[in-house]
Amino acid sequence: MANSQELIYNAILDGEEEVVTEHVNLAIQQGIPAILLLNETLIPAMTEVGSLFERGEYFVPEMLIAARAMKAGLVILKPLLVEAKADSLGKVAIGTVKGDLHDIGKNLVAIMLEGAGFEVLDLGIDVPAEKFIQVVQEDHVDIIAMSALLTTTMANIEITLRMMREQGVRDRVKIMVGGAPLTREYAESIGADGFATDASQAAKEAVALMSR
Amino acid sequence: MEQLTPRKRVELTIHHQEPDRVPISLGGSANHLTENLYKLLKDHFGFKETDRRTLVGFYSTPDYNPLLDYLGTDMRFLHLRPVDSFIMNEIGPSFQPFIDEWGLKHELLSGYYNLGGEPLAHLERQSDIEKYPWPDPYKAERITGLREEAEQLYNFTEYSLVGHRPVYGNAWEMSRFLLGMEKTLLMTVKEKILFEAFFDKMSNVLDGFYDVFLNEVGPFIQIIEMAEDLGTNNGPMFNPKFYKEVMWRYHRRTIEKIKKKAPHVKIMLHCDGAIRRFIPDLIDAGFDILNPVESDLIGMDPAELKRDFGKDLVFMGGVDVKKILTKGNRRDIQREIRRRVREMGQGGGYILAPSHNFGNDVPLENLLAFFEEGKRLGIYPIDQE
Repeated sequence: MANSQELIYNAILDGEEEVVTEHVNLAIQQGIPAILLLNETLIPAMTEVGSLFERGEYFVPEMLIAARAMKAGLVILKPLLVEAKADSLGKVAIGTVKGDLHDIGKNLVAIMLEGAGFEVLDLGIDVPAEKFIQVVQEDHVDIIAMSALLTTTMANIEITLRMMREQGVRDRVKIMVGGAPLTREYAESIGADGFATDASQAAKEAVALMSR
Repeated sequence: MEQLTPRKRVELTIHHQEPDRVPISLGGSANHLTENLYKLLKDHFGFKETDRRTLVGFYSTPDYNPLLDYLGTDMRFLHLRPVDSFIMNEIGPSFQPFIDEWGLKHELLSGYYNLGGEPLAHLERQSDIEKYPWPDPYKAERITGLREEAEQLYNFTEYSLVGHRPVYGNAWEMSRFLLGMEKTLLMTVKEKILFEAFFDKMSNVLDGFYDVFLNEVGPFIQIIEMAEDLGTNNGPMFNPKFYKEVMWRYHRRTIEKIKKKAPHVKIMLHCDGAIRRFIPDLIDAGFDILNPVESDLIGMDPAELKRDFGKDLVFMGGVDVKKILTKGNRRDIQREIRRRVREMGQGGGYILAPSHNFGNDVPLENLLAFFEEGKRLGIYPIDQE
């Protein structure tokens, strides 16, 4: 009979939200510490989902349901983790830039970042530069992650960075960017610290940024 | 070979034979211009824009025909007419938002034409599918003057005539518009049965648009278009197995209906992204021509695609826009055209076109260079170097 952790791991891979909820609750009742479930089950499960995506075996739909299933588990664990004062890897504020309403990729990145152990502040879509700056000033974030899916809204990434420099807050955070029209060259040319082509890569990039 | 008419040139090409030179095209579901680029070209050539706008997918552009005469392209497009309630907006300050016959909202967001509203985002039961107020493809206003226009172009010009897709997009596209992108993707893994019922109905409704369109233009066109975006920049948007198990048969059904009505017509599929993994099943569905061939994406190398699928597919596109046409000079453009002609032009089966739509950042001289060099450098037989 498979133990709770195996069942949770497989249920995340299969995107079975209800199974995850059931067995995370069971595991907590059995006395398994929340931090253990996070580090030994949830994070490895999402890492495997990321690998499957990179290998071309999982696609956006599979990632979506796996991410939702993982999130269902995380929702149960979060208050317990706070109680246990478990350290997060860092805090990331993520948003789609001003004028842009695309959010599926951004939402996936947010979940992957949480799965990787970050605290994530999701600013949503159509986020103006002023809001990103406010978050830097007030919310003690380590990373700002910006997403743009249109060549027309891509410019707002650059504008946000410029305004950050003008207001003297650029050096307080690491900036990572992503979205279909973006390239690594573009990210470098505008002075971003990190870039990723998909949610799985984004989580890895964020971890790398924290160690720089 | 002596110079052929555009119609003969395209005829040979789409039957995998070498014409006098590779055909070249602007317009249709393959590619179009921004309003800005159109105006630049209009001013450059100095022709007067007609008031006429044509329905291209879910929005409208000025009538390209005068421009295409100046550029010397081979294809001219026939467009289904919009219904009276459809506003043929120009992308600009005069844009009027509206809700269309599908229940979709047309609006301008950051200068980008957005189709929103997701009227079926809460679809839960198969019985709700039939109850939805589907548009009537057979409304008479859709074909006003269409047959006359087709006959005129067919009898009095030598252009290759192409039926622009008479729908916003085909069943996958329309599913995403009506259900919403996220719900549609989720349904492919969590609600396959409901998805299939919806896709079946969606295909049938869209088939009506092809039926009414072909009634008027069928005898006169060589190619008709379909459009489905199945890929992202990195790979398939969903599992290709799902296409094979569920969606394929409805595409095939659509194509069979088209070919029954107009057996001579070739089917062009506009499909963005890194879609190589779908190609064998797209061939089985009956697609004849693949566009736009985004040559820089994984699995989309034109030489490999020609080698692996050139027997079954005509390729249209491949000339890089993102780097070469946007940032290159004339020499770069010549090199790029020669390269693509060499990679895809052997034995016919290639039509010169860009790998994406031309964006506002493509300089006017590069746009002109593409069409000039394209006609010059595609002459058969092709140098193998």
